[in-house]
Amino acid sequence: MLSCKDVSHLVARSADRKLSLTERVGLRFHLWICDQCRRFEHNMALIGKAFKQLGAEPESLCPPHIGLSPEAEERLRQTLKHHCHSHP
Amino acid sequence: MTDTTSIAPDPESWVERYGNYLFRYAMTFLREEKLAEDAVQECLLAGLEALAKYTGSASEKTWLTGILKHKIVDSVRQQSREKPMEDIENLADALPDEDDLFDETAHWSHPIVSLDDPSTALDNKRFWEALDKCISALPPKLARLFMLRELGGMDSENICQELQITATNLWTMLYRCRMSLRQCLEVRWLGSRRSGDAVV
Repeated sequence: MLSCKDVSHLVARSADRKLSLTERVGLRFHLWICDQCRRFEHNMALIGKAFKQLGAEPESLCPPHIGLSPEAEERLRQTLKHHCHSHP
Repeated sequence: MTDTTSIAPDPESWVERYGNYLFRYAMTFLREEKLAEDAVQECLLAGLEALAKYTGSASEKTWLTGILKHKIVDSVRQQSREKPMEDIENLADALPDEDDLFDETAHWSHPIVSLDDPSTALDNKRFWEALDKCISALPPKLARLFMLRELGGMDSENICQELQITATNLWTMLYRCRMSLRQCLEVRWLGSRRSGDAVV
């Protein structure tokens, strides 16, 4: 019988690799009887889903107030300009 | 003019058109302004070098984003080389480990609260805020590694190769990051739902 600690490993591991049949059966059985682990699994799935949802637009996680400062923008502009002229 | 039309690339306008977007993209992964700015610079310069190879089959923005992803990986790799990886492994010690999470009978030592699915747009916004704050609470090097895996979709094998760490160490670090994020969200996300305002 798996412990809650084992279950936490399996749940976290399932994000990295496919679990074996034995692991899956053990996990399902434990989750069936253990509320704490069920909540744990639910939370981990929610976090996984959130990352998946961000997928193609990771920058939407970046808080809105974060952006290129005018100074940094000017630095980039200068660097690019300099290189544009050296690679016409 | 949309960025899907195939037009000759115009490097002079890149900073103005995509600078902020690329910077925010890099910030999401690198989480430090200096690193993000450097990655954007590298990206734009590499784009300039590769101009001849731009076929117009992808929009300029998509094409530059592709280059930026490589520069982000380069940056994470460089950060991890500058200081040896043992360092990063020690960093994981700052995060909750199994002794904090489980009692001696391998049961959870704290009750786990179920996180609600964000269901409205406002909810979503608060959820992303909470998630971002929780990622920022991780040691930055670990956060970068975690983001490459979770958001960059890089597989574990590649990360181990790029960063010269063993699969076991990577696994331990990711496990601790995930556990720490979950705990943090249980506080922040639930907190923000209850008070109707984000926990700062």
